[in-house]
Order: sequence, then C-alpha cells, then structure tokens
Amino acid sequence: MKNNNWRLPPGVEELLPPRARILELVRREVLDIFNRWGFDYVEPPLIEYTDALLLETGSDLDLQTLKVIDQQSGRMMGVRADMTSQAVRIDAHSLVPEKGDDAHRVQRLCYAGSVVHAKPMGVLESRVPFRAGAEIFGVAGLEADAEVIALMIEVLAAMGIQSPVLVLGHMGIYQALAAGLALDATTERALFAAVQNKSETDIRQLLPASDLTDMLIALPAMMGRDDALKRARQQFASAPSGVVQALDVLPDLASRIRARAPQVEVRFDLAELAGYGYHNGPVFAAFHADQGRSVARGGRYDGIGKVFGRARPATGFDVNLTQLQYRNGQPVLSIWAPNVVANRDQLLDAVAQCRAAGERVIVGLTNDEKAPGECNRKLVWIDGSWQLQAIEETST
Amino acid sequence: MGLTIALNRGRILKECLPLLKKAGIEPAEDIDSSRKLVFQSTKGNHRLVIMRGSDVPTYVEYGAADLGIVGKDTLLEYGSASGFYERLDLGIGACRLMTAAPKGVSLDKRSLTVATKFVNITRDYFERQGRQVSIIALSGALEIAPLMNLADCIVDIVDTGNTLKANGLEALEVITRISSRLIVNRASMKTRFDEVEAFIALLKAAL
Repeated sequence: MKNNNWRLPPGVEELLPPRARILELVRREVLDIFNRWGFDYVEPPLIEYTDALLLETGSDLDLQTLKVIDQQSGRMMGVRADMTSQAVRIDAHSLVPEKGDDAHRVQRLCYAGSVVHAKPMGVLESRVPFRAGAEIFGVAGLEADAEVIALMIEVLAAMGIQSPVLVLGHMGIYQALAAGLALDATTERALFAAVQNKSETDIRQLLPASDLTDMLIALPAMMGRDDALKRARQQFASAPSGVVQALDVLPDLASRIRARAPQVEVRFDLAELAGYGYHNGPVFAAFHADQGRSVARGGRYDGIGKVFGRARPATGFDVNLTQLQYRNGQPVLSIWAPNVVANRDQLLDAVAQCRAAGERVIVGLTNDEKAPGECNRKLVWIDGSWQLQAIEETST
Repeated sequence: MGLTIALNRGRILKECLPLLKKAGIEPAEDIDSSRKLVFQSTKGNHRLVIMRGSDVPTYVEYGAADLGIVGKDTLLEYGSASGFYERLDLGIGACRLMTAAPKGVSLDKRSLTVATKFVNITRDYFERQGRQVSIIALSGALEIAPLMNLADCIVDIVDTGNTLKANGLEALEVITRISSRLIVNRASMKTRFDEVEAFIALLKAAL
C-alpha cells in the first residue's frame, strides 16, 4: 500500500534539480570569492551544547534555536540557527594564539551551511535556509566594516544582483538613547520591537515624556539618503555622546563604500536594528527590488567573544543562498550527445573535450532518450567530426 | 505603476476614505455601490484593494500590497513582530480593547475563563499579570458568553459601551487603546522609498 504519511515538516523543503544544482554552484562560487578575499573557511558543527551557542535566555536567537537533549550527556543541545556566534566561539576559543604568536592577529573566517530555525523568520521563508557568511575579528576600524560590505556587494553581484540598495544604520544610536532611560527588561524589549516596527505611537505609549523619549519617537523616521543624517544631526544635537559618535561614523563608512562600489545606492535607516541583538556598531542590509526582505545583512558586534574568554572587535555579514539562487540563479545550460553507434569513439572524445572545457554534457544512453530542456546545444556529425550545434527551441 | 493599498472593509474603510480623499487618493468608482474588490485610483495609478481586516497584515507582509490601513487590534492579534512597518497612526477607528464582565461579578477568582476574539492579546495581557486563564475563542457577539455561563468575562473592543450595558455587562480594565494604522511592507519601504514617503507625507498632511 502506498504510504501517504510521508510529508516534510512545515517550512522544510528538499531541493530538487535544478535548484539543488544551482545552490551548489552558487555555494562554490561564493566560497571561491571568500577565498580570493583571503578568508579562511571553517566548518562549525551542526549541533552544539546550548551554552556554546551564545544564547541569552529569551533572546530572539534562543527562541529561534531548535533544541534537543543529548542522550549521552543529558545536556541540552541546540541546532545552530546562526553561524556568526559559532565563528565568534572559534575565534575566541579555538583559534587562540599560542605563545609567540601575535595576540592581535586579524582573523578572517568564512562559512557556508544549513542553519535550522525553530520557526520561519518570515512568511514563506524556509526553516532550513542555507547561509554563507564572512567575519573579520580583531579590527576596530571602519576599514574592516567597509571590507566586509564590499565583499558582500561582490557576492551579491556574482548572484546577479548588480546594484542593490544598501541600507546603513548604527546600533549605537538606539542603544545610547535607550540606556539613558534605564528601562526594565520587558519595556526594553517592547521598545526595541516598537522602534523596529517604526511605530511612533507605540514608542510614545511605552515611555514617560522626556527629551530622550522625543528622540526615540523621532528615530524611526530617520531614514533616506544623506538628508536623513542631516536631520538626525539636528534632532540629536543634545543627545548622549554615544549617539553623536555613531552619527560621525556613518558618513565616513558611506563614502568608503561609495568609493569602492559606486553602482550601489547607499541609504540610511537609523532605526534598522539588524539581526539577533548582538550587534552594537554599524549595521547594514542589502535590499533588492524583487525580494520581500533583505538579501544579505550584517554588522559590527565588538566584544561578544568575551563569554568565550576573548573579547575582540568583530564585524561580518551573511547571506541566504537559498533565497538568492532561487530568484536569480540561471541553470547552467548543457550540451546533448545523442546515443549513436557510428563514430562513437570520436563522439566520446568530443564529449571529453567539452567536459574538460567546463561544459556540462549529457550523453544519451538509449535511442529513446531525448535532449532534456536544459540542453541548448547538441553534438552533430558534420564533415567528419563532431561539432556543436544550437538546439532550436521548439514551440509547444 | 503606483502603490497597492490594502484597506480594511467596514467601519475603518468608511472613516479612511474621506482621509484618503483629502490626501488626493480617490477610487475611480464608488466603492459602496460596486461589488468589485479592487479599485484604481483617479490619480497616481494606485490600486485600492478592499478586504477583511485580518487579511490586511497578511497581504502587506507578503508584499502583495505595499501599504495597508488596519486597526491596531488586528495588528496586535496578528502578532508577527517584524513583518512590516507601522508608519502612521491615523487616529481613526478609535476605541479601547477592554475586559468586561456582568455587573457586580468579581474577577478575583483563581482561575478565570475568558471569551474573546483576540486570543493572542488576551493571553499576553493575563500573562503579564501573572494570571492563569482559560481562553475561549469566539468570533462575535461576545457579550452572550458570560450570560450563558460560558465564560466569566470577555475581552472585546469597546466604543461607546452601549452594547455592553444593554447586555448587563460593565467595562473593567483598558488593555490598550486602539486606532487605525498605516502599515508598510518592509521591502517597499526600502526599494520604493520615495513613492512610499510621498504617500505618507500626503496622508500625514490630511490628518
């Protein structure tokens, strides 16, 4: 009897051809870019004890992490929901400099792999996205932020997103304003959500009237092009010093990016508070007109490795490759070699030559087999040799 | 191509149409007399789509609509914390979300049964108070529930309070104040920034 119970859990998908092939090609391409930029590949484990996954109880990352009990040790394990925290642990704990090493050595790490989300991050999102990312540890200066953003832009370009909208923000602005209000944890969480949702009314309802409250109410509308920064400077003239410092950083970062990638439109959104709450400096996200949410994002998270024994400045980004390849990936077009007896040796030689040149060649194995739709060329015997000929698209 | 705007049919629609008109956005046909659900605007090539309130956040979050006008109660109940931006409080459709119980009934019981349409809001509200409650989900005419001994109290929208009074109930605590909000799809806000901001500015000026 046929088993109808076979189903994938909601939000979990299996990739079939050609999507699986495209994802793999994209993964290789992205890792090649990381490699050319001097980043070292790491492969963090899929599951770890929750203590090692940087999970602050009740935090977004904690709620997003699928947990299981390790039957061998009785301890709680989490399936990674994010690989940045694993890279932090690797830098702080596994790659600690030995005696005689430079203690401040800059570490460039990259990774690619599946993460698991206890619930989808957004509508129609996979719970098992395939992420690739790159992180720089040990550099406090903006040059590191500009480097990872430039790398992100190159990765997006390779995926077919030539001119994304890059939105810059700075966690320090929100953090300095909220710190001045000395809020309890529940209100702080509600405030964070209200600022992220840009709901001025909700912010007003949460906070007592004060100058800082007025600034927080104004924060969500601080977005746009350079004029947004100008407005912010006026609005936040009397703000805590952390705010002013953050505002000084952004134009500098923007001009570095514009110099390196003039095709990218740089905008600001001072209330865009990226990620899982561990960011504490400049943050950024890349958007593309066809996508419902950011295609890549990241930011600075200095000192997070402290819990693992080594607090270092750090910045990085990650990109959801399943999301990208699905929308932008073009399957690599293939060559068809028919199943023939005559001149077969020469045919197989021709096939080998095409393959050596990096082409994908499918050799027909029965007389009935037809060229699959992905083939746009075929090998044909012309004037004593096998030659490539375009396959005309047949109208159906 | 203009923007696609999802509108909450019913009372909120009635109150927001004059506001949209003031902002220069008018449907090309009379919404009341037409059975259509999608209307082109006379200016700006916008599309107005009329739907149930609880569907507005879904359309905006998925990006099928760029903007939506919907009650805060629906947004709270929808619960997706970061699916869209809540850019403007339109001040229309103002009311309160309250607890209500039959006159003279004390809610100081150890375990309370609450009937409501707003299951998520109700659960959050009592959780914040550290109270254990059983929630019964109903879809309308909540006032009947305490009268028929289905629940001790209800959580419902209160406008004038007349319906409550007529059924022997009294409004107790305000859980939150409700008004209609303009919500914006996150990606539209980023990639169609100028159009969206221009629209918001028009609406803001009309408030």
